[in-house]
Amino acid sequence: MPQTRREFLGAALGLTAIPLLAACGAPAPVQPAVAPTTISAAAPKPAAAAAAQGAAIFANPQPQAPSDKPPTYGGTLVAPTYGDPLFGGDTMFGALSVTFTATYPVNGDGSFVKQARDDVYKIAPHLADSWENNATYTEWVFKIRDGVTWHDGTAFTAQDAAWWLNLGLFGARSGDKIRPPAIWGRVLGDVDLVDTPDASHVRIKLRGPEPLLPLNLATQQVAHPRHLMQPRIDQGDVMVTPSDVGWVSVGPFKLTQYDKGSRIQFKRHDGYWEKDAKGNKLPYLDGISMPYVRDANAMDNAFTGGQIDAGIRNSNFALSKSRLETYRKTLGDKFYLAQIGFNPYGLHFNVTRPGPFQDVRVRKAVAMWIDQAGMTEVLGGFAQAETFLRPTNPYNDPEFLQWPGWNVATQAADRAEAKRLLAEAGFPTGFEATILSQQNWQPWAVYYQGQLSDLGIKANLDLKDAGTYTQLTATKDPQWELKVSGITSVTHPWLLKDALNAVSHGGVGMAHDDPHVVELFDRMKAVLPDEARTKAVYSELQRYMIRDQPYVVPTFSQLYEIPYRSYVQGLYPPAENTYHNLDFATVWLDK
Amino acid sequence: MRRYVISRLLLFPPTLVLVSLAIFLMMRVLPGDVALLILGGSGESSDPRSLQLLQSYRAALGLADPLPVQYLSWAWSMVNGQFGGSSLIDHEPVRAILARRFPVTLQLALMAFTLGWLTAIPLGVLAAYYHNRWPDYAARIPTQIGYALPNFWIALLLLLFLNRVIHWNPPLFFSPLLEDPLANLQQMIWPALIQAWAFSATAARVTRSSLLEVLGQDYIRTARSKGLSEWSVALRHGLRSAVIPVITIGGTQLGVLLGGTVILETVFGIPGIGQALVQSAQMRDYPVIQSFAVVLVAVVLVLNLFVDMLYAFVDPRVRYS
Repeated sequence: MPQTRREFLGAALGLTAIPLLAACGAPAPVQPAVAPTTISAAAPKPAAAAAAQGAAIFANPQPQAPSDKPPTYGGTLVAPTYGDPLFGGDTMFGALSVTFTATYPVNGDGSFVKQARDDVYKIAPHLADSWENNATYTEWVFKIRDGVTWHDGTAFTAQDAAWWLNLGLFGARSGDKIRPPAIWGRVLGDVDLVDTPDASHVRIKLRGPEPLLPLNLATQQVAHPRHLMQPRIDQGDVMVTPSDVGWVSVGPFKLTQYDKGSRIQFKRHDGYWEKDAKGNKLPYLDGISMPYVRDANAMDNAFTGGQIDAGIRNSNFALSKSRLETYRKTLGDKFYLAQIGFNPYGLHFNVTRPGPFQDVRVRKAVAMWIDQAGMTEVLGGFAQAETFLRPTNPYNDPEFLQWPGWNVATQAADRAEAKRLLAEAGFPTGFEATILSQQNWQPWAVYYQGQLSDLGIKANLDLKDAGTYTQLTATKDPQWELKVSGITSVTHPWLLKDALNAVSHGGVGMAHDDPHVVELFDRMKAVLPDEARTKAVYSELQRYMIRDQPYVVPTFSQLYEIPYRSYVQGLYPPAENTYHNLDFATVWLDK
Repeated sequence: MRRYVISRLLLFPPTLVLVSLAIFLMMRVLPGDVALLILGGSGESSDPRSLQLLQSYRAALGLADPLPVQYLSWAWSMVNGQFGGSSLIDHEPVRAILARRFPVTLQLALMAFTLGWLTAIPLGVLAAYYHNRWPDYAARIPTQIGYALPNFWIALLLLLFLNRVIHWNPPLFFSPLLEDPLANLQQMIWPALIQAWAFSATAARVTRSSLLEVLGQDYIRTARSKGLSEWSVALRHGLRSAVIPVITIGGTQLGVLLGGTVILETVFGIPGIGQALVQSAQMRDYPVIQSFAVVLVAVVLVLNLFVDMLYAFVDPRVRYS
């Protein structure tokens, strides 16, 4: 150890000189082709970019589910949520995510069928144990599982299933009072009739082919007990909700206490039908407590302080790099992360409105200029490259990673081309535009504003609350120029048709009147459910809408890093869909 | 006094009607549609089924009626016992929401108000009496900080302090005061202290400046010349006259506190009125916003009347004739 000032100076100079000398003599380091740590390990790895993908962005234990240990029964999982379920917990009416979080344990994750626990892209039996369809996909028959009971002990029958589906598809009427159909009713296709050909089957007849009907049924929840709701409807209470009848449902847990504004508590539904691979009855937990935590800092304190066992699956609560560091310092390896992809956001164009963005060269210039990966920092450090489908989706085509604007290796040339295109379109010095965004998407909007400014486009922000934003965008005559918006998370490309199709005009996506998009979706419909041919059409659609036109500039999307305490076992974190596997039926506590 | 109070009370109904009308119209002028929000924003596409669905939702929520019908229907529900009808978002009766949330906010407001008052008056008196001496400077430090720091920042620091230093966190869910007083206080005391700090910072400064002005008056010199003790002069003769502006501030602050505080409710997980108001405004839940606003205006009207009456009680020179 240096003892004097002179010795210290000498040591410091010596230590500085060693790497300098080493650097002079060593071969020059090879620069990565693309910047590291911007694409998650989950992203696809095309040959040119594979070398630079980098390691996973964090080095924390990966999800431990399913566990190798034999599960044990008992215990209460404390899994917070961030507010009361709205619409009386009625999943027929609620389009808001807060509703769903608490409804999964009580209703179960799925309806007749569900997304498979270990693979969100596969369909598994649920309340129906088998199903079949005719050759033209216009008739589907589901065999309802025996032994399913409502929480009050009443048997769940095919009549209950058909009643629920009819309520969702066609609503109800009592006198002059009308209950509208469920918001998901139309996604099931043009249903003509739902009936019960016998005591254990439900038949769905459609006016047109619907090859993906189970896919759409898989994300619904049966939350409406016929024996409790029909009498209320008959009395004129057509808008009766699950909450009005005590949340009696068919999920693995039943409601025991609901302190509005504060917490929800569930306990095991002893009559639940599902069993694990060894024939043990599910669920393992005695109960679930869902206190409301509305602030990320409060969640951090509660998690590190041992008050809660799980984080909240929401963008406001997902961990950033800096928060994760705090977790690691405080808890070490006493927690793990579930990594879940969610809706990517993008800068959407309105090409139905006269202005610069009707020129494809201007749109291409914007798409080529915006630094996609730069969004990673805005999103807290965890993000992945994607367009309309998640990288884990079997239909995803990673070709886009090679396109101008996406390929970091060609970024300088792409940006020069962007400037040239803008000048060629008649805007060599740029122009002024307005970006419409919801207030809570301000980070995205500010990022796009900065990027456009560098290109020469002076973008003004028009930040609105959700109500105003929805009104301004869900119109047949949208007046916005550029819009920040999410791109709906779907597990199959056909489910993008409402968001991307020309006739949908905003609401959730871009605004255009392009008949070619309609034609592409028509072609996709014609080849359904053939996977290879569907994927080919989807690739063409992606190429057309993002590279050739483009109608939207997707930027890197957030990867939710959701913390779970290490003793939370048996969890299947989904690759996408934050609400998947939230029924906690397979979860057990290794305490 | 009685005539004054009666005349003020008679002004309440027209004031409330005007306020309710203004709020009703403002909410309808604002863009946004609860039915669209429920549908996820895709209702007005050119798909006829979407449009039909949107219209049927609007009808089911009572939003398809003409505006005068909607207003009268809601106004009638305010007086016929339904108290504003039900939330459009979760069908819960507005009176149930209010009955659940208002006591929580009231408790928090009273705790903050009491703590703030108990701190502000002694601090203000001390600062005024020892004007430009060290107690004055010492009293100014917490008041300046309370003035300058935003609530949410203090709340986050406090949570961090409790978690990292004390290794303790406030309870996660709310327990009513009468059911579990200890758990209730463990959760409520922190936001109450933060609010009290902000309140006392204002009130202490007003007390100080008001008392300083009074202490220079002739009648204070007379009191001193009578041989009264300094504390008697300051508290009995000085403070009584100086307290009127403090009462005014107190009345205003209590009104604000009763309106709820969204940030503190969010950070500490308190199911008060502030969160309900913000959520209702975001979701365009008209019956809830309108009913809550009318209640809050009524509360402020009553508070103002009470403050006016308190003036006369505290200072006999104030007469309402």
